[in-house]
Amino acid sequence: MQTNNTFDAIVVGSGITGGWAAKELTEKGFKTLVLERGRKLEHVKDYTHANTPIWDLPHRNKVTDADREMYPVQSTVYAFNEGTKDLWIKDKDHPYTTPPDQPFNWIRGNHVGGRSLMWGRQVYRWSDLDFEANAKDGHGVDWPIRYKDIAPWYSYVEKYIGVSGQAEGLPQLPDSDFLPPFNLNCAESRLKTGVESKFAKRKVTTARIANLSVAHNGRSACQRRNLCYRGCPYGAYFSSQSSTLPAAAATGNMTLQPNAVVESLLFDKDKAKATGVRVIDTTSGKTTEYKAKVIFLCASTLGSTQILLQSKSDRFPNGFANGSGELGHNLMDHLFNMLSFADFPGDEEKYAKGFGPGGIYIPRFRNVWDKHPDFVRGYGFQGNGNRPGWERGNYEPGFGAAFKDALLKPAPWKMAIYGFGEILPYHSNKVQLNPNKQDIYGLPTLYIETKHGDNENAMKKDILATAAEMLEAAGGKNIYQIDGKAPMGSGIHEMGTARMGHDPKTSVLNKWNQCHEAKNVFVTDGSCMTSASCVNPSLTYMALTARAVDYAVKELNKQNI
Amino acid sequence: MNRRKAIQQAAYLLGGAVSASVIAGVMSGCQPSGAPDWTPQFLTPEQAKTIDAIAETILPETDTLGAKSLHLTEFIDLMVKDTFSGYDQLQFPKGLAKLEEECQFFTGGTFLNASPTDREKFLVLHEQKGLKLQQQTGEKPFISSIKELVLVGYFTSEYAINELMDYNPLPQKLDGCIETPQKIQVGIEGRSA
Repeated sequence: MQTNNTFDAIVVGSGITGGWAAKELTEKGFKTLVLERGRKLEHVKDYTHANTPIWDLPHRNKVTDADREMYPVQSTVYAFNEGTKDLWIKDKDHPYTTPPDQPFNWIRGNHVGGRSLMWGRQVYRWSDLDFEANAKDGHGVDWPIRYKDIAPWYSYVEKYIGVSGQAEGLPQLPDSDFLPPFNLNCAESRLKTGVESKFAKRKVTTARIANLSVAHNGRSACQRRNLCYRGCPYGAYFSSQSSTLPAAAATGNMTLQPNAVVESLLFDKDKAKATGVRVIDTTSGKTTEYKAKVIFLCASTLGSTQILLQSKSDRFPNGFANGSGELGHNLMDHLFNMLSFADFPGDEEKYAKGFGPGGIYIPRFRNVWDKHPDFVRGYGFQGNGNRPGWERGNYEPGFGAAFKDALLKPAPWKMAIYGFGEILPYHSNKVQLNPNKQDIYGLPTLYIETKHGDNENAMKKDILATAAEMLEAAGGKNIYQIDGKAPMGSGIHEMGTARMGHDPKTSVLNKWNQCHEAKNVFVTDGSCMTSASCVNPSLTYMALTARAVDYAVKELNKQNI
Repeated sequence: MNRRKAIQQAAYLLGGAVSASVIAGVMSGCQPSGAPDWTPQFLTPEQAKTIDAIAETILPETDTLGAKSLHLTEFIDLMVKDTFSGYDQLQFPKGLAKLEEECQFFTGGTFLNASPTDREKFLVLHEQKGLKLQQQTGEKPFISSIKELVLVGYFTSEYAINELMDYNPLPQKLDGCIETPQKIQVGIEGRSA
């Protein structure tokens, strides 16, 4: 049914979870409206610079001063450059505020597919080490699920998206259903040997990544160009565009509407249910109401929470389904920009050809088997080895003919590893509406307050210390380290603000990602997260989304919703 | 017909006797244009002449093209105008003036008046001094900024990527441990790894 703006289901957002909700709902026969606040962006056709060689970019991929002014926050992202800039939101048009001493980097896209087009693509399962963490050390509230609840859904999602990686049988980092791993290069293999022989319980494995090492589910194999951030014309990494949205469209049940900003959820007090959403068409400025039996909020962590906070009524004076008062609180991210570099002498006769999408991963080893005296939880490392080419001229002295010739020869091997650490859920790390600053649609913007605590600061020290000892153990020389002092949000793993929990008094969502106080509203993006783990979270969002749709449809069929 | 083919054909027609500057003309790509009527947007014409000479000293013409043939001053002018912050733009003429001042001291004349050998010798000293100062102030030396622009302009040019390096736009596979080849590979983004 879709006359009079009425659908079976509404999905807000078309990014990594919105795409999954759309696919699952439409495949189960639900007429589904997918609302995306950003512009239309078509797979392949709209990847403007997917094949543009660097010499055809006027500034050779560098960020201009005008870009930095239009994108003051987005332009700080490693993947922001002349070839990708159209994929990032124009900060100037989409403001938010923070206390002056608490910067927060809110990284966003503004198009169909959202950040699934520009994500880092590394995907890792969580384990019970993560799901039991809050219960064990008392931070935050207990997760209402355990690994066994989500394991089959990890598997379900992985088989569809394609995850390349190496099975290792580690308790703290369960294996996925893998496609073959991408190769390590010689330097990365030496790092593996060096670290594993020196540290009995540390492991170096290949990055687990949602790039296809081989063709899979009708999508092409990765071409090893390492140009993912411009959008992949081969559909070789998982994105909403390459995978879930085409699947949803193929059912004939999806209506995808871009340029649609959800202002609020509509609520029927008597039925204690949402009836639909109120939407601003950003092209016409017109407001329209759409109705549905069930609503999936998949608008990203802060996006969904912003909608919930805006949806005030007599029943919910402090925001939708916010009887707990936890809505907007417990905002998390990952410790980021903890960088360690080393010269990695050896293998001078060897070279790596082709451009891998991942590199190496060092799974968490702190507070797994033992207890660290200074902090709880843990961290992992991503990294890679390479032989720089002409780029080394930027940091080596010299001029003239010999210099020019030398830059055309491969430099000695280098190794870099980057720590990602868990940030605890603090009630005081929060977002609120700022009625004094409105966006271009007249909606209140977000005021974001975040700080690291003692646990994070202690962990950061240890990240640099163990990085140095591992690089050294594997033969690294001239180790050089940077604490990039990245503002919160820079990890682009913002989580929390509408957490799951057992108790409606202390959490917004139940174990099915369902609002405790409105049974037909499900929130399945990062806002649902009760803790942050130290691994990349998107795989968990996808698994939770598929699981929640399965539950919602069963409940609808039983007429419980 | 792509430019690379055009050059190969031109070379064939001319019996292979194609001078470096002819190749540069054909290879100039989308820009820099190398147009004779080019006027700098940020630099003064005098500064442009000096930058031209500095760039050629950094990457001179040998059996392969140099900075001048690739019109890198045009690229540098564009980059300083568009990618430098207001502060860095203010520092630019100051840095150039300082370089000239030191050049006067070391060579007894302007950079343009120095011989190619003296230019290179001077830049080596100038860079050493700048890097030493950077350790105290944290400020990137002027010569490092110029050098970076010259390297980027040169090594991401269509000429350098196609003629001097192994352009690898569609690797299809990743060989993590092969014998070191004669040429470094670069991909579509101009990076070698």
